[in-house]
Amino acid sequence: MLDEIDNVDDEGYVPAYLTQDRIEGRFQQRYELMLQRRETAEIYHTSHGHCNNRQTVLNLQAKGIECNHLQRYILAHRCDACDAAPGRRHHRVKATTKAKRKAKSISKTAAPVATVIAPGFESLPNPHVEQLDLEHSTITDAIDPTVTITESLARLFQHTSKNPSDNPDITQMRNMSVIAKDTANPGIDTGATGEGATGRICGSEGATANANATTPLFSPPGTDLRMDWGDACSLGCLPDLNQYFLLVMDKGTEYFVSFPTKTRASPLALLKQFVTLTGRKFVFCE
Amino acid sequence: MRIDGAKEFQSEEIREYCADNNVVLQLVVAYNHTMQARVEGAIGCVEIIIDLPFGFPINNIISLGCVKQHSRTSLLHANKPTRFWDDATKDFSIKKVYLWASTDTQGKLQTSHDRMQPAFFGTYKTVAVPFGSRVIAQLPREHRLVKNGSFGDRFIEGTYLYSDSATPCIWMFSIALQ
Repeated sequence: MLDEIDNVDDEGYVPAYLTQDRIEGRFQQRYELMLQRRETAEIYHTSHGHCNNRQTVLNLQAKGIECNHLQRYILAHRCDACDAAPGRRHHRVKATTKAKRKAKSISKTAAPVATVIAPGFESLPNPHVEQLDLEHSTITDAIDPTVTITESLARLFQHTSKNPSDNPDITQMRNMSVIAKDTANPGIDTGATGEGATGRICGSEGATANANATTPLFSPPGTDLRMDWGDACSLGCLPDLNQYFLLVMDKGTEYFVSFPTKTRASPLALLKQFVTLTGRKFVFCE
Repeated sequence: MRIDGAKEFQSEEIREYCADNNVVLQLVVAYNHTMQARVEGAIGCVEIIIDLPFGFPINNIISLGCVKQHSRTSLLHANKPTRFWDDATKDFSIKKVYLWASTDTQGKLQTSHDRMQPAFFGTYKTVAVPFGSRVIAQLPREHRLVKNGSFGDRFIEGTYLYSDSATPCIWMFSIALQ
């Protein structure tokens, strides 16, 4: 039979050598926990298709998976395979990155500041300024003789970047009177050729266009598709296996499907597969 | 539907199909990748940047790899031969669509799959598996690969390829069956 405990301190006494072991054990425990969480972070990274670390956290949050305790490990994760294949990890470019590039290009292409030779030089009128103004060609458009060919081409050029559902017919593009005012402005926005300018509105609606340019425009699912061939030569394809893939992308939802194929002969069959897969028929928006 | 001027896209059957389904085909200007930048960027075969300003230094040009880039990484990580590129590509497409979330205009985290419902019949368990990882699948007793229903092996070993889009199953590469 055991004696009764008279003094708690005496009973709770731990020898010095055992205390040291406990400290080491705790460190060992923490180290193992760190390794375990690192491994979990790596699994999440690879299972999500080697996306960047911030994207992995977003994905987990979107799926409702608790990841607060893993966040620092996920954000600090380094993948050897990702390091070995450098390049962009996402096909979208951030607005801040775009703005930085634009600012950089402007600073490089800007004309050097003229040195002031004599006081009052700037106030002198430059005789060549009037000659530098652009003028429209006097040749008229064959379809609409009231408009010059320069204006007509400028309208078509600007509207190729617009949403096709807005302009179902080319003749409508030609006859849009709103654009005629804007074509008088010689500074045609070169960025309109880019994808990011899709849906940009020209003319009197330019103010709203600038506001919309910063926010992404989502078209309804299945209304705006993009399709293109990809070549697998850089991935190392073999001649008797698939060499190409067709990528069909729905612009509004960013949903895309890739169809590997041996030849590029039948995109229609693959397009029908896309329709079958998504269960959506094309919708024509006016 | 926006397409480039590839010969296959301008065939008569595609035009008829589009006419029947009220699809407006929009051909972009030839050799102008920026007008197809969204899809070219997704493919990763463009060697220029979206909205690349004129005069941008050539050294800073990087390729827009999304599908190709990640397929290459998956192949590297899984130590798979390059003949599996198509499986890696399909796998990444599914993972990207199903798992990658982005903030929509209302500030809500959504995936492309959520926006495109119904688009895919896989589940998180079938999609969120690293490409090329070792998979063991159980076989039913009646399966043709099972030789002895009572005492023989009733499993098959292989590597994960991609999730099936029509059923909550996965495609795997069997090591035994090649």
